[in-house]
Amino acid sequence: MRKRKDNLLLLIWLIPFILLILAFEILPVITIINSSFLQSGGTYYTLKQYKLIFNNKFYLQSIENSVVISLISSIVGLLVALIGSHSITKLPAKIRDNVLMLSNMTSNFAGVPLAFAFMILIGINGVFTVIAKNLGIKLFQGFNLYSEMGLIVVYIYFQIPLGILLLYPIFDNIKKEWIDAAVMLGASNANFWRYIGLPVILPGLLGTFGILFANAMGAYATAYALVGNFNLMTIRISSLISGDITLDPNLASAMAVILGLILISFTLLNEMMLKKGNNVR
Amino acid sequence: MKKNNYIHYVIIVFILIFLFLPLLATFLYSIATQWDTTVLPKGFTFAWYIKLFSDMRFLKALERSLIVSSLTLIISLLVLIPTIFIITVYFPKLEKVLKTFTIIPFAIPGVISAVGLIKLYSNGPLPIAGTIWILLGAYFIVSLPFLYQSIYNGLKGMNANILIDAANLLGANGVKAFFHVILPNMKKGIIVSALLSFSILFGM
Repeated sequence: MRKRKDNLLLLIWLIPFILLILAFEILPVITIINSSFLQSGGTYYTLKQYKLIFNNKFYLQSIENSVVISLISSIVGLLVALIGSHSITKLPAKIRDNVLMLSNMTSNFAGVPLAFAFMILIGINGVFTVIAKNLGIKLFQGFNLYSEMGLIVVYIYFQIPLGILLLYPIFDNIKKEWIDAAVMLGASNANFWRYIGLPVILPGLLGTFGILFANAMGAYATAYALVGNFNLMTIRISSLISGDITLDPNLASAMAVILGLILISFTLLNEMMLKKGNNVR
Repeated sequence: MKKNNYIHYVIIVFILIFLFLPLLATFLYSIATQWDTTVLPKGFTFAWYIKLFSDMRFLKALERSLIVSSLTLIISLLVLIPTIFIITVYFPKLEKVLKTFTIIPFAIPGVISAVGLIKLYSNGPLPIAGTIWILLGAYFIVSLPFLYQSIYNGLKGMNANILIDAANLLGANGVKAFFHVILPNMKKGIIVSALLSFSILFGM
């Protein structure tokens, strides 16, 4: 009995954590949802903001652009990370740790410096653009870094190390003994991946895909530095709260809610696919 | 078998080149005298760095970044280590709840939470928008998923429950066991996660 009481006293230590989570995680989200339904004066509730977004081609385009760029960059990033982390598991332990460390290092390289680095490399007078021009190769003809295509390339860059960081531990779960056992029972390499390997890594793969997608949907500084005013959800949101032409925090909140809803439905879709996959198996 | 391995090396070298080219380019640009239409810079100089480090505003910004990141890290560790320890050892039923709250930051991009934070704290009972405190709070949430995962892994990896039981049997109370058994065992994990979060925060 005394022990129980002691344990309950321990909960006091959780108070700072609970306060921080309330103040900086839960309350902000509630505030956004609340203000997305408020009339701009803040007196009564309305659906005006949502109606405006869904009837405005400009805002709809920003949603479409964000989703398309995020989807493409996460799929490509995931594929490269998948191949890469599979290869990393094949290396000797010492090299493996170094490669992982290097890859993790670059995962912090994003935002304005990253955009700038790509301008140096493949911008209008970038190193590779100049090399290609000098050699007379039409490698970059039709490619413009300061466009949707360029954004996708830069987004893929920051998706790869994050993908490797998240996928590598999953590959580590596949024990070598399983492959041996499967081969001994007559399975081919392809068979092993089809019936054992893939089902084991699938949950982690979909989870990683979700995080990469969220990462791209939420990216802001990179796109802003590279293209300036490319029509993306995050750029619309930030120009609505701190821009100099149109200030409308309630509209920004509604945009943020829509962005959040897209991420949530994406996660739910992932879970559903996972459940379905399990049933089939 | 041997031949297969070459493919893996080639793949990894390609990925690493792709990942490091932008870093290398930025560095070269930072020591170039002039580099606009040529393949390589025309000459090299450290003048930019000397200029940067003699600029008071840059030094102030650097100092502030360092202070905010390390302060966040210290507060986060002070709050999170006891919280995660108490929940995993004494209230395992709450683990799921804790985990949910630590994953949420992944689903809320910075721009979204910024909208809420500005609205919430620009006026009202706690007007901390524009001060260092709002940044500390926001950074705490940003580093939460990373710190949680590594502290949690550390606790699970050393079988904290069993260690606490053993310490209790030997006559140490919970607090003593925490400071003399659990904390020293967690040191390595904490340092690694602290470095990771520090670099994330510093880069923001």
